[in-house]
Amino acid sequence: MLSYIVKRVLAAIPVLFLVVLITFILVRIAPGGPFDEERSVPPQVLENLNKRYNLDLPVHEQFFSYVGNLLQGDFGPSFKYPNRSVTEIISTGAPVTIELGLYALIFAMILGCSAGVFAALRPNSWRDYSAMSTAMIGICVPSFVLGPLLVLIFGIYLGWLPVSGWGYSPGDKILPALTLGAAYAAYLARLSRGGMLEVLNQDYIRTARAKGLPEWQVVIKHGLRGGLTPVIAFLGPAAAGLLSGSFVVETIYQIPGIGRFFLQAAFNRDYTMILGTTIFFAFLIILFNLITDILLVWLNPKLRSEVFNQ
Amino acid sequence: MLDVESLSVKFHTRNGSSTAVEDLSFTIDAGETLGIVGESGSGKSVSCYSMLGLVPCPPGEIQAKSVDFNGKKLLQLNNKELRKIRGGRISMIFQDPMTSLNPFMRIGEQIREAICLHQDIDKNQAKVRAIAALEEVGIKNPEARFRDFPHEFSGGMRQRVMIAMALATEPEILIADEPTTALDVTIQAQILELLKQVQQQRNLAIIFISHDLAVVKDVADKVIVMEKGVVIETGPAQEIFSQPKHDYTKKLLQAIPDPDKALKSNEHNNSDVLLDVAALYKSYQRTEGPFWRKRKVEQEVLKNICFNVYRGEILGLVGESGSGKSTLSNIITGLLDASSGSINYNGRELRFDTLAQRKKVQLVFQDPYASLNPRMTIFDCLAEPLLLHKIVEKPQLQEKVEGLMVEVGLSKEVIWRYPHEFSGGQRQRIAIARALACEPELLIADEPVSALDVTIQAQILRLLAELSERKGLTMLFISHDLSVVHSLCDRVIVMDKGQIVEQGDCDSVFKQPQHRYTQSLINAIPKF
Repeated sequence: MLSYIVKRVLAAIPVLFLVVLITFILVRIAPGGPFDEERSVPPQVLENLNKRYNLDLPVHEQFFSYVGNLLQGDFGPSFKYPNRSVTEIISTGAPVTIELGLYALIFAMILGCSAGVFAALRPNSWRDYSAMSTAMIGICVPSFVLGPLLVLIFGIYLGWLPVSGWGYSPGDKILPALTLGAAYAAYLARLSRGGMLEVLNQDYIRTARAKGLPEWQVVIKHGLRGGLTPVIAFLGPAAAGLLSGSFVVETIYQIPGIGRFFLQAAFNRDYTMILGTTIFFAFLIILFNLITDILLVWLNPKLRSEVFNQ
Repeated sequence: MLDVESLSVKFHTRNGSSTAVEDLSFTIDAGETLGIVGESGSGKSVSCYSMLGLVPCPPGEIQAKSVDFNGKKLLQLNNKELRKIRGGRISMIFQDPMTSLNPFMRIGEQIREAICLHQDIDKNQAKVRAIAALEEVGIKNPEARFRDFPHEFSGGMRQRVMIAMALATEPEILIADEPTTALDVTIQAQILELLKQVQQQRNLAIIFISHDLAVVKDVADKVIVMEKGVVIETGPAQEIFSQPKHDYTKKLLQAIPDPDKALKSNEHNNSDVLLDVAALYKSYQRTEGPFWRKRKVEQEVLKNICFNVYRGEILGLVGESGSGKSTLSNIITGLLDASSGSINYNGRELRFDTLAQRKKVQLVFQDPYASLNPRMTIFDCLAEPLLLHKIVEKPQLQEKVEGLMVEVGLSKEVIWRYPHEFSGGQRQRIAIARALACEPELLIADEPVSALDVTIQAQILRLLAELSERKGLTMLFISHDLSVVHSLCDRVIVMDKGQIVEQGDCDSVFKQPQHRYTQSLINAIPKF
């Protein structure tokens, strides 16, 4: 197992390097630069700025000095927020974004999996159809529609929950988590329905029934483990999507996460900021996929013993 | 003990109702074995499942005058009461031990679960019982194996675990649904022996469901023969097998491969060698250990394989699972490379570089459901090789395809249909037609009848024998079923653990086996 993990972690290093390289090249190729504004800057000032941020050096030298700093944990200064470093911005914003993503994921798992299992128990019944059409709607409605809708209903008409903020008043984390998690809940519902349907037709489920187990124990003890495998396989990409897709929700609810910086950095040609956030997200995505893969191996006794015996 | 009177099971679906079981009556007492015999779809499993509430209703509908188990009316019980009987007083074992155990749960846990459900004892006592049950069915070192997962057992061992699980709750009746169908013949003999032994010790009643008449004859006291949900014949086993009254029973009995009635007169010239396999070795390399100190482990799956196939003969290749027979057929067809050794075809090295070479050797596979492309019509399926090898021109294509269909005994009107519209036996005929379309010299048939019912099996075997005779086709017939090989083949090769242990003339090998392994194989065949 350890050997497997070490191998996967080592394999992630060249991937991260490639992400840095490609992003670095892409932002330089993109027209415009960090200091191009509608109000033109005097040439002398521009030259000084370029000099200060090493933008006057040849591109390959810039790249190597960036990577060198990166290896020491320094993401460089932000071009747009001169007083703050990228490291500082990420370290204040990231915990918020991660927390939001985590809540959304938990919400999506609980709602999605129970809806999927519920639907799979009686396939092609009204239960199945209603759960699956709700899921379809969940997939179709984008978060910038769902967010304001939830705010209107729960925040303004009913007045149950605060409409914005993060950690200022009790319950203000609920609506953002629901908004962000809804689409993933719908995906997970479809996946868990499919997985459960397949497993419930297996011979060993018949064995469990033949033992005389009550139906709920058949489903929970014998069905869930195999039925939720596709759900777990989807968790890696889902976690990645939740994190990098949070900027809409962060904007709607005024949440000081990293998602907004990610988007603004691209508009502003804030080179170091783009690179910093991209590397950060890439790292998380690789990490979550690794965790998912390990989980999948761990949950399947046959794979587990194969990996162990390697 | 169990008294069933006119049990009927119907299924109501959108496409109308169908009757799965009609008017089934039987009784069974302690210590007795009742055999239920029938081909697939005859309703033999459904009838047992329905008594225990394992048939979902709807779409099912179960009716009976009475199903009486020791004074309890099974069909009138509610779910909770029925669950106490199911698995507790009436246990079941199933066909495929590979899929019938939960792969995610330790086997000890699965047995303990059954015990705790039906007996009022705590977890530790249940564990002691579970280990005792494992020991009873012949699992060595049961304390340690308690914590193993199903994949760590072989097929036969898994069936033993299933039996341990079924017996651990001390049932009065054991329903065994095709318990040995998925097993090798020597393992089958062991499992049947085990069932007889536990039956004696516990005075257990067994309902033994099987399509295999020889096995049922071996174990059953009473027999019910079913066809399409209807009981055809019922009576003491001896009587049914020695003096069958009904035509269907006679047909079933005739379909059993009979070595004394060879399907084919073996008149061929034994001197003309078509395929010459010499000193063939195959080994797989596996890597073991963590990646910083990997070591390569060689695993030999074929060792020094030497044999000839003579033109026009049917050569049987017999062995149990894991003996290397499929690996060998994959090497001969060029799907795998051998590690060393030579294969000569018609005096020259066998290669598959050109289409013309590829066309000479063709394959028929085991599962006719999986080996035909479900999205191609039969016409497309047969026309593809014809066009690829430029055997006929477009104008004559349809005529040729129709000719192939007639050759394998199918109607030429059905060529525009898709595979799912055919039965298993018909599909296997189509698969044979597809192989014949290439006009091969050598046909390799890899377990071509083991997925088929016994009457269909007899038809396909007759077809193969006929084709070999009429077209002078040479055939390598791979099978785990010795009686099938005996009735069809001219010569036979017996493989065990990657080696040929015996080869020779079919009759002499079966009548006077020389090698110990062959002897044990032949002894394991249920005698008729």
